Amino acid sequence: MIEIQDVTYRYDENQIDLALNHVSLDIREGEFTVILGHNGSGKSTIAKHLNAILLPSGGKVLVDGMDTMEEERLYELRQKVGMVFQNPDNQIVATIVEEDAAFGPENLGVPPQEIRERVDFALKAVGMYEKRNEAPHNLSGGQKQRIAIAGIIAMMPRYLVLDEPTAMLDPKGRREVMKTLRYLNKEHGMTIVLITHYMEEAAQADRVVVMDHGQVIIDDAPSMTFANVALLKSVGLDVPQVTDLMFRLRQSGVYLRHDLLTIDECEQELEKRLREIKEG
Amino acid sequence: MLTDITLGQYLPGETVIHKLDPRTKILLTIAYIMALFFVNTIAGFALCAVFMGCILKISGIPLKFIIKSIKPLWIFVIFTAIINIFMTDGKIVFQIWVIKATWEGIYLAVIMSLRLIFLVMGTSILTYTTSPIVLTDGIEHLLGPFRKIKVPAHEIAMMMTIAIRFIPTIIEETDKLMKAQSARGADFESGNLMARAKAMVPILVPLFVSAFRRADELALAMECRCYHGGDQRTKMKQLHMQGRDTGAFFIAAVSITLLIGIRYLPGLI
Amino acid sequence: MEIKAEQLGYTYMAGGPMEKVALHDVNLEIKSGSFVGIIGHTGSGKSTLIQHFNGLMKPTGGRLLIDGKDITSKEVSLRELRFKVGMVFQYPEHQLFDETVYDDIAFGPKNMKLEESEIRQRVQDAAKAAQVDEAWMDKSPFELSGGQKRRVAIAGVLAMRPEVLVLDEPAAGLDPKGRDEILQMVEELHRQRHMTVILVSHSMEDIAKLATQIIVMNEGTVAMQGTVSEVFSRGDELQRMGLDVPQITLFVQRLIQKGYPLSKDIFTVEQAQKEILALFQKEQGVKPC
Repeated sequence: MIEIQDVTYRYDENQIDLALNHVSLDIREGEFTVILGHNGSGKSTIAKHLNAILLPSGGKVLVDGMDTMEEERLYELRQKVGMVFQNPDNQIVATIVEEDAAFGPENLGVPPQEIRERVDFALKAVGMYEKRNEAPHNLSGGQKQRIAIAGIIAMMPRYLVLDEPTAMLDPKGRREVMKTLRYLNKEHGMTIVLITHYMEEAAQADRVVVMDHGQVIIDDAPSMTFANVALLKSVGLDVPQVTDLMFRLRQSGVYLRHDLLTIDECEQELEKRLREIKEG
Repeated sequence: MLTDITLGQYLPGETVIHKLDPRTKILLTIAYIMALFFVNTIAGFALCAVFMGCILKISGIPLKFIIKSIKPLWIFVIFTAIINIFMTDGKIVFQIWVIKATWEGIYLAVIMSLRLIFLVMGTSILTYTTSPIVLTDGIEHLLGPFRKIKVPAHEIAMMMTIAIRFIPTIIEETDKLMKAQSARGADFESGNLMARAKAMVPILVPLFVSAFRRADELALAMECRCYHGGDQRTKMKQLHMQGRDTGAFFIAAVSITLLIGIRYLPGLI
Repeated sequence: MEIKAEQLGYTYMAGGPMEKVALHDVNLEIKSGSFVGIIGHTGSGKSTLIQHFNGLMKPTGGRLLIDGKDITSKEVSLRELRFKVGMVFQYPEHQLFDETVYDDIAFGPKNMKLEESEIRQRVQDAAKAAQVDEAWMDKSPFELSGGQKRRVAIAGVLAMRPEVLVLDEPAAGLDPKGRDEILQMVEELHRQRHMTVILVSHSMEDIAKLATQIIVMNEGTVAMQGTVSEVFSRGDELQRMGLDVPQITLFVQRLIQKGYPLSKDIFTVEQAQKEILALFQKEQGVKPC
């Protein structure tokens, strides 16, 4: 478990606004958590605290009981909490896919035979095993981002943190990355923390944390989060179009359930209401 | 378009030459270059051509690729030729004002040009048959023993790898920037040297800004993957010298002896 | 200004071993004053296509006509074409280079060799249109935030006063608020200044909201061309190309299939809300909750 305990953070001492304003949050094992928020809401700042890229100005972050402030255990911490960034181009080190996946385990001093096994496992897990001998620069954005994920998986982390991994991808690349993350979570029980501003991605999580002005304003299941359409809009976030439609219809006086997430659920609910009205 | 440049010279293949250990290939290339400086007769270069021909045949590299790699040399060849032809004392062939061309000069010019061409040929075969990453790996291993005298072998190799990795990215970016600035009327083709140099500013500034940003992000990503230099680092792919490497050393030893020996066998020319 | 492509084709490294056909048999027409959305997945040829509009690329087959004139003919000055067709590339903020925001915006007009007073006028005008704050003018563009830089970069293109504005994914990488601001700005340029706008986007929702015409690119050629309702009514075909229709359109189409009397031309949440409310009223007045 990762425990974020009353953390505050300031990028600059002269700054009055806190980037994180007394945030407390637990990341539980096996969970797929999405952290949502607009740019500058503190969502990336929170992510960077999970593997000691940033250290709290106040409060504590504990990873399996280990304080991120303990400098001498930094490598242990970073092996445990893997981090994937936004731009896939700027995190791939090697000129061949499998060499890149091997980079992390090589740094950890893993024996060569075991690195081979880990690399093969990781590339298969993200569906890039067939491309293992190719040059990353010839691949699509989505594929590159999956290689970046494989590079982390090969380090056998407990937690996988991704800081806006889909922001620079096209819809196809976004779908590929989301599919990979869901697979890792469901089939390998990987704990995932995904930072994003895409609502479609949040809808696929177990839990959604919404941040604004350095504070957690919602921490709930996706369906309950999406019920708060007015609040989400007020903090500069979008809701899926059907969710928005349901919200507007409710506002216009139509009685509809408010915890609907998918297009199918909304369709059923709307039909049910129309039928009920027709039958009086 | 810039991105049309085929990057790196590596031509993938499965031949014995391709499969040789990179260390073998690097060491033999160095030995070959040194031997070239002992070759100073036409007969010697003829022998050299035979050896190169054999290696080309075995490695399956088309001759036109070798010619392509030699082509950019012409400017150096002409330059050294002119210097040699006119700066060497000897029997005068013709004379323009105070400048004299000599037979000895012409001979020297031919030898120097051939030496340059064979030198580039040899190194091209190395880069055509060895992927950059394997080459880097070979260099890292060869520099290994020098670590005791504080040569940062791992760091040098890492820098080379990253450079190779980012060359296509930077080329792509340059291409994009040139288009974006052209779309705003930037002109890179006309004007004198000063004007053209100035016209590059709108390309170079953003390129540097982005290179620094990339370096920053890459460094962070590497730290997050527990990179801490070469200490206690392992490698997935281990280099192993094999039978064919021993064979290559043997063949090379014989060839180089012949190349150098021919110089000391008078009467052959 | 009218853009017309006739049998246009573009092949990279034609004749070489790495030959790659990027565009073939492209026929299209973009009328003056229209707002055209271009959709297609990565590699469909849309980026190559738009670079023909201002002569950055020249067709290797067929013709591209601007106001009836072939861009490869001597009558057309490619340099002037670039000033008439403004092109905003993806992540345009990466092209900023000058010492101040003002100088950067003025780069285009300076290349046009305009008078100093004219340049000043255009920079101020473009800055206003792109919502670039007057206070940033003397700052270094590198001091600004991501969204602010992007607006400066767009102003740099607007300062040339192009008749046609081509934007390649202008909202890429922005959060929803930033995206809305940029798209609203584009919409105003079209509405108030009557600019012809060509918008390349992956977001069907944005295209549906803004464009009047849609061109669908697939495998290097035009797969569909028509009004928003013509194109989005062919949802199945779009999905086979790996493209989507706006979620709201999909939702309404499903209801129509179930027999509910709704209009096929619903592309925004507002339209859907209106129609569905009307449906409820028709069925029996709205029940208060």
